[in-house]
Amino acid sequence: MALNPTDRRARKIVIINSIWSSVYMALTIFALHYTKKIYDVGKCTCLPLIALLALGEGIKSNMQHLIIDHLAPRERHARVRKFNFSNKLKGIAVLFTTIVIYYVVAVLFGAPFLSGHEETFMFSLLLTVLTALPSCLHLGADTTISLLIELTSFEGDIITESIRQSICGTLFGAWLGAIVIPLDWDRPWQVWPIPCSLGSMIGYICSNIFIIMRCFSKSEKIFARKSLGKYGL
Amino acid sequence: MELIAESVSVPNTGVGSEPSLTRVETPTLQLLLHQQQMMLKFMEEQKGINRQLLRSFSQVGAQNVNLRESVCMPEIMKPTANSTFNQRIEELPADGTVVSPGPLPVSNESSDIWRELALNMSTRQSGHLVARRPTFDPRFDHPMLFLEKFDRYDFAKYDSTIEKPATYQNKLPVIDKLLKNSKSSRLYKFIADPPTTTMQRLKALTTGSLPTFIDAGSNFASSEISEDNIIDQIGKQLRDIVFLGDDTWESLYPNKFKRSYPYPSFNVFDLDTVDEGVIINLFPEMEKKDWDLIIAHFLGVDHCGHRYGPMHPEMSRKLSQMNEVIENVVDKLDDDTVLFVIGDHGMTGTGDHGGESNDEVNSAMFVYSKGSLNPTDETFDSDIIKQIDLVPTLAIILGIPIPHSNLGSLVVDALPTPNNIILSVENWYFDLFAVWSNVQQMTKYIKDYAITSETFSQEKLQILYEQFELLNARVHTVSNINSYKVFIKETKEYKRMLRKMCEEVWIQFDSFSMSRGLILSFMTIFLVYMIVAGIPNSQLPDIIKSSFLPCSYAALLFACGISIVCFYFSLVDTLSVTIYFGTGLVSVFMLSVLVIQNWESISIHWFDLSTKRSTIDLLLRLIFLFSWCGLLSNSYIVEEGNASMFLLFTTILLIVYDCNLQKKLTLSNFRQKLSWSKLKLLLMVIFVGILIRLSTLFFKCREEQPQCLQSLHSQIIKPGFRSEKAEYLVTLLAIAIFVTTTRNWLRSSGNLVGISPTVLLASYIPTVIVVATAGFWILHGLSQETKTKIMTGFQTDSLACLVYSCVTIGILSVIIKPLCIYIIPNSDVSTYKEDQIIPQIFHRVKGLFNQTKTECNSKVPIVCGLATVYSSAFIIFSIYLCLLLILLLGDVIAPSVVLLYFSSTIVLIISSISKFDKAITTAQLFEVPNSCILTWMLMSLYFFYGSGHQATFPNISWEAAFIGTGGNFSNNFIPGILIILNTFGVFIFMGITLPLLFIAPFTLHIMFPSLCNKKQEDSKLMKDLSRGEVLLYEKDEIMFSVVFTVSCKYILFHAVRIFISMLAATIHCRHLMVWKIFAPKLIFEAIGIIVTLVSVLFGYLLLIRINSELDRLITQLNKKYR
Repeated sequence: MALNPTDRRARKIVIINSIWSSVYMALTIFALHYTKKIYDVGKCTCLPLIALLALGEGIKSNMQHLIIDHLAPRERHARVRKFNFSNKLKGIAVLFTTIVIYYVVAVLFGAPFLSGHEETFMFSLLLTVLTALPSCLHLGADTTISLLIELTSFEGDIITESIRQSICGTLFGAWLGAIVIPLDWDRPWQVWPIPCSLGSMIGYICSNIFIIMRCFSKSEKIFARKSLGKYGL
Repeated sequence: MELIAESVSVPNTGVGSEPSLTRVETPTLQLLLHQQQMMLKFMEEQKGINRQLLRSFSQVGAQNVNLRESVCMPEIMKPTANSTFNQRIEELPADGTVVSPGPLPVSNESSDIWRELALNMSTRQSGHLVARRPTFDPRFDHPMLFLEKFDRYDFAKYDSTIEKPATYQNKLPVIDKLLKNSKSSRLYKFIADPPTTTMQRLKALTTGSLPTFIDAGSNFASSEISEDNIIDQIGKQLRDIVFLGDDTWESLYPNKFKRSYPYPSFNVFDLDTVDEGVIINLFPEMEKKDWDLIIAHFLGVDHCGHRYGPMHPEMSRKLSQMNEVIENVVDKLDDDTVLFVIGDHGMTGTGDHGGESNDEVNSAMFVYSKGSLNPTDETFDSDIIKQIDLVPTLAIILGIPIPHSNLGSLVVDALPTPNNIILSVENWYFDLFAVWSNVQQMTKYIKDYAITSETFSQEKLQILYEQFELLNARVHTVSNINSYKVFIKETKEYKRMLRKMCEEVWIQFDSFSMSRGLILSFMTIFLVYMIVAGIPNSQLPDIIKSSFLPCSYAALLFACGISIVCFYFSLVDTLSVTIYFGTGLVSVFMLSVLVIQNWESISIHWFDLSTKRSTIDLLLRLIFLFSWCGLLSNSYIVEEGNASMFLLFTTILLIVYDCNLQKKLTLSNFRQKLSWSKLKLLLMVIFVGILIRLSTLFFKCREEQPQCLQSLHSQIIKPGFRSEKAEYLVTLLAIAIFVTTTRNWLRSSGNLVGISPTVLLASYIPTVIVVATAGFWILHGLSQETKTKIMTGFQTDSLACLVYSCVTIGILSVIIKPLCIYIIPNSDVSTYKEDQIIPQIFHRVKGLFNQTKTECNSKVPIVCGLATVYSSAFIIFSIYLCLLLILLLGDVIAPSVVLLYFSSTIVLIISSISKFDKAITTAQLFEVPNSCILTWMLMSLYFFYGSGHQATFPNISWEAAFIGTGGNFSNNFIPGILIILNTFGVFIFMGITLPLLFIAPFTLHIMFPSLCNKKQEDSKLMKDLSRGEVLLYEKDEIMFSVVFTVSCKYILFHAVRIFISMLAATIHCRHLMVWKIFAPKLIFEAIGIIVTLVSVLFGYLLLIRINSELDRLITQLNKKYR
């Protein structure tokens, strides 16, 4: 079935974004591993890592303009016009709120409250960069708020859907990462928040790979929810 | 459902007993708080004549025979000269009966041999030995040991190293002083085998065998020791024992003492009665000189540890008192007495014991004699000895046979130096003899044991026997002090090997019973799941009501009958186990018949369900999986409090994200409708999360969590009744908020109007209870001196008793008259309105009632509170329950109950809103999603930890048994109930309030209609909803079947956990941690599920009761007004 040009463009953007995200994140993890800094994920010395990831997201969001140039020049103007100053300010406010919310939620899930501020802060910063930042860059601040509140039921176009799925994957990875923390193996990677941070990164990669696979496997129904398998992941 | 393990008790020379099966059962929760400081005082005294005769070896031998006519020992007379003694050692091997290189003679004969040897030993010990062994609580001993080490090796540094001694340090200067004379005193680190509970320690100290964990359960009902033990041996030699102190000894060794002064050991709050009683009687007894052994068991330090912890000033007072006692005893000792001061176990940083952490296991043994002790040899004597090592040492000193099942090895340098002036043998010959008799005894024990059971592998036994032969050959070649030392060293190695071998295989498991239990419980859980989850609610009542129930009863009776017949013809060993197994089998059979009969509807129902599942369902299953997978890992059991909090919060979050309050929120309309209702829900989740997170402050620490033990709050939590003023205020504030909120809720729902007894009680009693509880805490927190000045203990307890009776009356009133409603006979609303008597809510109720019941408005009565009639009874009931728990938990942990109450309320609200969101028809409102039941289960799981409990025995808060009882119990029923209420109160609360999960949406719609923002105001659903819980009454058939299903599912969630616990204990039965982590967890889960079963049943019965009362009332009204 032939897709209309807008859909095709959107699909292309999603594929390229996802490929970029997964490759970029995988490279970052390898870099961390080879510089032996992987155990410092929870310390402030890893701020460059966060900056690197944020830069990656920035590049990704700008890449779509290249694609838009080819396919629908008019769209570009619309997009550019939308990015005015107040929007940016709003986006920054949303990001900061997200950091605070992630911090609170992490504490509610059992992160230490009176100690380990640095670790929890770095973890929430990482989660914000992986979830709220791409959403803000691609969809704008308002959509981000709605998206985060209605995480499981938000419905939008292909790009929104892909971002929603990558957020879900990231959060699920972080959640699953916490499993190894109570084990009494005394390994350096069991310390909060290393497994959760790594889990979120791996969840991010996995969800992006998943999105790519879906884009290639089924043509048009890819993002129509409820029709996918038993559990509609 | 039982883990059956074999605890090994072995046929012994004295009392033969067969290896017995001991079942891990729910331990009788008696309180065994008393611990054992025991002081054994041990003396051997001989008559004056003997003293003069002591010089002559042969004479003493003769004397011994005279003294013990009944003990036939002709050999004793033989050794007459010093040369004979020397000779005997050489002759021993030649003499086949004595020490034969081949298998030892089977029965008593061989024990006679070593008994003879031992008797010879005793003669050389000069008959005048007073051995006195006291104990300290190891906790204080443990540091003491440290001090002693400094003393011994570095005198100069003693004061400078410990500049600020803690309350428990440096409080026993007498030991330090006596130790300066290294010839006559010794201090050892005294290692107990876990479990460190009183009876196990006493058993080990008298029999010398290794304890098994299973005994810990029977700790609470100490019964006579049937194994061969040192007390019996002393008795057999017609020697006299005087005993003072802890009455556990009396129950273990009834009628074995010449004189005894037992004192009740149960009341932990009583620090002084036992000790003072012992002190008063001890010194006169010492004067009397007609005993061979005095045992004095002090309890004060241990009770002090339980009550105040080691850091309290009371501890230093008790220790100073002990110091004084020891000083006086030392003064009065005569030259032939040996004093042993021992601690039977240690205490943790919080003053408890029972586990196997270093602090609990380490205690101290101090030996002192006015004469001299054997010199210490650095090459083989060690500062660290095992607790059971005391048994052979005492036996050798007293000159009695070492108990058959002893596995302890002789402490050579604690023996008094032999008094041989006549004998020209060197002293080490005596020690050699003693050590060798110990080795022989242990080897014989193993050989006897190996005959009766196949526990030991043949290879290991072979190695052991070879070693023994080697030693046996070498014992004759020992000719000088140097070879003696080498030999002793080798025997030590040998004994260590032997003991290790025993420790490895000691506990046997009855795999047949374990697999039976596992299969039965698995089948039950599986089949009940099939029925409850498979058969739709609409069909379930019919199926149950059919011939199924009578058939099941008949089958069960039949199974009982068959088992009794089998037992009668002795086809089976134990009746009870057979009945359990038989009935279990029959129940499984009946359930499977039910499943097979209804297979069609089950498969259709499941097919329907499988099409509806979503990602959230998948995640919920994952959470459930995690919640029981954790039981298979020891680290997850240790951290279960945090893990269940994690899962609980996730579940609540998922419930919220599962409901989409605004359908079809898309990119196009998101700007206009930012989902405020969803945001409100999320805020509620955050709030409940904060409440739950706050309750982590009340976590208790396990010994496996060192970082937790170091943290600040763990030290605050321990003393259940002491709290700082600020904490006390916080607690009171929390309770006040709790009482006020609940009352306001009831008032605004119209349930606190009228004069029915339930209503009156519900409006005033909570306040009375709170005041009484607060007063009780204040009085309890007073120091001992002030308390005696102001009042007696009785008055303190009367406040607690007041709370108990109020709660009982309140609960009874709810059961007898569960309806909190008020009927206004005349519907003249306007007058009441102006008088402001009736809250606004009545009008709505009246409206409701009019709609549902009748057409003629004028005559219809107004019934206040009818719309919340079900929930109000449950709420009032839970208020009483909470207030009771608050009292039992003590003023520090009490706020956790308030947190529990509020968080479960919010969870109910959240689940109701998510139900409103999903329901389109009224029938859907009657369904309770599994996610809610899972949340309820996780809540009970989490708040067990959140209310300051841990699944370990040392962490049981025994203090609860003393609230209102004063510690004087005629039976163990009341304290048992109190402790179960304290420990499993959360399970009871969650179990009883389970029907609220079903009722809540209807209540909530009446109270906060705005919460359920349905657009279609005029739909049938909304009309139904606006009638509140009256709707439930009209459809009570459905209500009961749904609540039944919900209860079954809730129990299933718990049952799966106990199955997994059983599985974990089975899989890990050889695991290092099995007795420390898995077995206690299994026992706690088992008690938990029993409590859950009972309380869920109770909640269900309460619902039935409310319904029948309501039925009666409405029929009455209908008659009256129609």
